[in-house]
Amino acid sequence: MVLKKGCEKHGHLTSLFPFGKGVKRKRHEGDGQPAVQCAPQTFHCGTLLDLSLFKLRQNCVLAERNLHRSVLIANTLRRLQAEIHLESGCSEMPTGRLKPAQPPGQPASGANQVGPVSKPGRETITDLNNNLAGVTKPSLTEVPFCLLSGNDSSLSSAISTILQDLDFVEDLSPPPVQVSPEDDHDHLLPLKPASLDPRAEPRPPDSIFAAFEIADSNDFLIDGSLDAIFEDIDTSMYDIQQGFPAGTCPTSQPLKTTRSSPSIMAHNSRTDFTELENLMDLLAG
Amino acid sequence: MAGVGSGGNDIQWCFSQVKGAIDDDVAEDFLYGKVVYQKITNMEVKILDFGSHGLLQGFKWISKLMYWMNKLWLLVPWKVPVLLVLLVKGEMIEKPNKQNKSQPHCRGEYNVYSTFQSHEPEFDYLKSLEIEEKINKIRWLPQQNAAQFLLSTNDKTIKLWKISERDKRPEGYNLKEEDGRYRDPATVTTLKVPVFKPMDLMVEASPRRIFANAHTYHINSISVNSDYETYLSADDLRINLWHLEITDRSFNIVDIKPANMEELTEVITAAEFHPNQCNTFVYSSSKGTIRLCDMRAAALCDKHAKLFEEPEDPSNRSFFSEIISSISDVKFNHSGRYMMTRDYLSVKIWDLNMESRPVETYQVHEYLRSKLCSLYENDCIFDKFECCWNGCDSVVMTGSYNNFFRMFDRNTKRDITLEASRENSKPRAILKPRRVCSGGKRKKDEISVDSLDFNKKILHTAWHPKENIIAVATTNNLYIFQDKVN
Repeated sequence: MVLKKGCEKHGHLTSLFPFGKGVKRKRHEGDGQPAVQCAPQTFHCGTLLDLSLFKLRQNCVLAERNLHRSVLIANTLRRLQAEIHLESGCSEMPTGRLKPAQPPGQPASGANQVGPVSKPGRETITDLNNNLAGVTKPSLTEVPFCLLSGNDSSLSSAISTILQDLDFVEDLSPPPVQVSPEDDHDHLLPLKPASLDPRAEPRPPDSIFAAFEIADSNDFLIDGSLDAIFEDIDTSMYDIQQGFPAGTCPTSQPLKTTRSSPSIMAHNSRTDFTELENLMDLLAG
Repeated sequence: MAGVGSGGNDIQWCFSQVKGAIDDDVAEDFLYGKVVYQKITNMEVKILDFGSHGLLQGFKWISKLMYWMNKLWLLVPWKVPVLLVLLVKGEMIEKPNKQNKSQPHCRGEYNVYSTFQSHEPEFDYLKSLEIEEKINKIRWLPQQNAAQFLLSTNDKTIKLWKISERDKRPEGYNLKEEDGRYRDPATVTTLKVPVFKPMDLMVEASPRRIFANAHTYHINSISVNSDYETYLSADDLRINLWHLEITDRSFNIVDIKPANMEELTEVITAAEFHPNQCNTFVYSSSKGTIRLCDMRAAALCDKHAKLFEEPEDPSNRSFFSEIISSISDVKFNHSGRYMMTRDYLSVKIWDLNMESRPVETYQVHEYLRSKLCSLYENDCIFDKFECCWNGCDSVVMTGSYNNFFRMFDRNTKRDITLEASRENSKPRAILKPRRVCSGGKRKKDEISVDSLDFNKKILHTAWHPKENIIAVATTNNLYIFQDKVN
């Protein structure tokens, strides 16, 4: 049983799940089994990841932001992240990349590294959001939360930034210093957030969701950490000139298309529109 | 208690009334109960007959409803451009009780009583955010005089409303004409005493207090304390305590906002005061925990007195485990010994003396467990269902999809699924139990999971505190059902 997005009118669970990346999968035909619909898990994580990112992004630009929803989606994202990571079988300790990826002023290795599910066992909870919140998730507690590859750290920081955004807009307190991740930008043009003004609404998304914002925003935001997700994909044939980071291509395709071609990502706002068009022709042709 | 059966299944539920617009555009005259109204457009309904209070506009969205004890009030907020709160007053209709002549059955027929706009849409210029006028919660206050008081809240502001009736007016002033103009004292030759003359019932709603600017996040709950002097309001991260008389300040009693928003993983989803102990309240979270706090222990109740949490069932673990464990509603029973929580798939009843697990768990729509992925995708998994107790705490009720609602009898352990639909809406028509088939061969009269309409959801239900009368809110209509009177 699958579902079509946007099929609100019908509201039936009978259409296609749109985010499949061409991977064959089993169909659960509502056979009444209470089995968890998550097999095979590997691809499923990926599509769920996309979906969750989209939802989180969507929530950010909604006029009526829903913190509850964002938190639930962000937590699901973290779980997916952990699961993907678990399956990739990595076991190294966190690299130095992580630290600079966090904006300064954060508790050192506090935010991303000790996540909400990293503490084993159930402890007395005094504060809901201190990291001792003790719902036990056995498999996840074995893996340090701050995940080990660049992919995960970028996602973690993206999630963190989004959550911070919510605070940013909702609270009257002065915004935290918006310092872009300093590291791993050597091959990328620097980050230029569209607006530091918390009063702008809809608030332009930053970091990871810039990739999906191209169609309707003139400000292309870069988060260098985003690049790490796609570094295994070789798109050197599409590189036209200096200044474009390896493995990236500007595009003006809307959200759905970008999702299906993961090699395409956001670029910086200085990209000339005609160059964009040329590249589009290249890609399409 | 007249008419109360021993459980949800022994009662036969009959249709009583429905309020709201039919989806088609044809203008029709409806006769329900004592109200005759005519649908003019999709947004306007004109009441023609008794109970008419001018033009009623819109039936766009029902967000909340509840009963109040003595007068069979039904309070229904509607989200529309103009109309925001609708009061429907029930009239007691005495019918002879053939079984027990000394105890007449009381049946309410609910008619529109009053309408008023509770909140206005606002724009927060500082943050460039719209604040919707949509009402999130309404709570009655206990009645202390002839007027009714209620608290209503949107995302940011809570208001205390006084609803009073006026059915007489003074006539015969000496110095004023009937139309209000002042008379020249020189023309007054005789004196008379003004007298009260009856007039058409006028219902006035006036805002008495406005409690604003205390919440940064969206208010999701309000709860009046049993001391009838204070109440709490809860948003995603904080709970504030107010005094009903004081609007310029409130006390923050729970604050779960982390120093760093990046660390935010859990929010408050509902809060309620204990019905008898004025120092005790509970709040539920998006991770499926409920915390009971005692306000005597500290000014800031960040340390809970009790933590209610059920360990996760490892066989049911999925990526969505956390989302479906998020509690959407908490309700104490009338005695305060038990509390009921609603998460996405189940209703749980907790004994306040036992924190480790609920004493009863009822599955509302377990057939959805294998569909969680799709429900996540179409956002249904974030729907917030409410739940309610019946008057004697023996039956609990909650809503589901396809306009189904479920009742669970705690004594007999039986449950029933009923549907609120126009097709079943003949007067006194008995509701037939419905069944959902989750797979395999579909029997006659069963509906398969894939045919359920997930746009038709019943999020709000209410049970009369004394009678077997229930109100069930679908997206555009309000249904009232009562048990069959012989």
